[in-house]
Amino acid sequence: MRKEIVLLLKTFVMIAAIVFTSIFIFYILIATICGLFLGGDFVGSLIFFIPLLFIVLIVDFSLFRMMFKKGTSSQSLSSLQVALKDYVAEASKRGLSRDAIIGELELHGWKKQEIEEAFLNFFKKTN
Amino acid sequence: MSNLIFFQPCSSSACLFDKAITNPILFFEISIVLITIISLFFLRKIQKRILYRYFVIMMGIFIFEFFTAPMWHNYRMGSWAYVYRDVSWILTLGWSTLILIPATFIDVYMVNRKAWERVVSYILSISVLGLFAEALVVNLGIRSYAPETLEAISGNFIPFLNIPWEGVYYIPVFLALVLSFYKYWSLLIDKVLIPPIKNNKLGRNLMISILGVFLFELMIEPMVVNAGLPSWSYIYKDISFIITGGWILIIWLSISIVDKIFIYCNFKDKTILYVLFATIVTLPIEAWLIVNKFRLYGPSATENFSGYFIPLTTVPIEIAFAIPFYLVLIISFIKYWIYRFDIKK
Repeated sequence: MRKEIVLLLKTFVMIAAIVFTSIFIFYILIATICGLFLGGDFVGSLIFFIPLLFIVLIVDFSLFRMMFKKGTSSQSLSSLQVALKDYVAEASKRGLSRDAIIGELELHGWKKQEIEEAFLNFFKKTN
Repeated sequence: MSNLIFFQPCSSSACLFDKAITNPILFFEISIVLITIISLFFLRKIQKRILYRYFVIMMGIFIFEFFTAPMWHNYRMGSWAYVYRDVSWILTLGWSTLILIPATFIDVYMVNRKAWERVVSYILSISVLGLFAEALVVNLGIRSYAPETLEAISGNFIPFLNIPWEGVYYIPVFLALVLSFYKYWSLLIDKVLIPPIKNNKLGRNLMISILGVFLFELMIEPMVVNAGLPSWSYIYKDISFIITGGWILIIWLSISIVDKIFIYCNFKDKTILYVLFATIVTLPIEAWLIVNKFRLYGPSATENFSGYFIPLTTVPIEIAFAIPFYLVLIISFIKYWIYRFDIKK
């Protein structure tokens, strides 16, 4: 059930992102037409709107990547376990000791057993 | 439909204003550009990735200037100085430099001080500089205020500075927002390792959301009138807790849902999701409120509209941009303070 809700939310976000990008492109087209052909006050604004279009496209790209990224299901891990495993991996990469990582995560509400499991998942992946 | 095909060049006062530059303003503009270049040159010696930081502050300022443009005017800066209506890139540079210099010095030289001491130092130092900067642009004849803004203020001016007393509120709130935006994105620039939070403190996060949204709503109150709501719902002037409460709820829920369901996403992806979720819900509600005359944009805001609408609606297209811009600022503010409280544990 939870997975279906996540999928629904993701689809909803994707559709909204596409609609929003279309509006944005429409606006830039108007700005271009006005600035170049109709003597409007938008010439200068193109300097800002074209980089902004790139930002919107990067946002869309990130969303698509998120949607098609190997999800939590492929590894049979829950969202929480994935978040924990990723943090453990990143902290280990940065040279933090196991005790320091456990201490930090315990401060944020994680149980020791969950953290140990995350270490296990991380080592499973690296091996 | 004809409105879509035959574009009318902007003829309102939002576009046709006095752009002719005076010598003192020219000198001011050259000074801004030079101070910015010199500051960046020296600041890069004491702080890493200074250009990224500068860019983030510039984005924060520009976003703010873009959607609060109807509240103030920036005239006589020369046609090259404008990027959108009377929003000027030179003022964006100036405000960004004014924030970057004290923020960098405090970050570098007060690193061992307590967080609240640094926050007070940021706000105080930048606000004092901000008040003088505002006085300078007002007295040079660049900055003036829209009729709605003048109507909303008391009419009392700070002696010698010649700016309204309300500036003492507006400037720190504006700076607190932009500064929080900068500090939030600095987490990405500094590659800060953010631990996942298992149980978010929803009550505390709601309080931070209330504070952020209400402070901001108070500031942009002259731009739009909330009308036709029950009289008991108005808490200050035309700020209604039904509408403001709704925005708070949407923002708080978006943050809470994304933090819960998308906990495994990285910093950047999560931020995108907060803004998108909140925009998807806010945009149709705002459109409905506008169409049903519960939200009435003032003449200055209306003059700024290009005359184009969101497809299939009669809602000005600018609203589709103002909402995510507003949300990205306010969500950065809220998330930064949530982060500060989380790591304080």
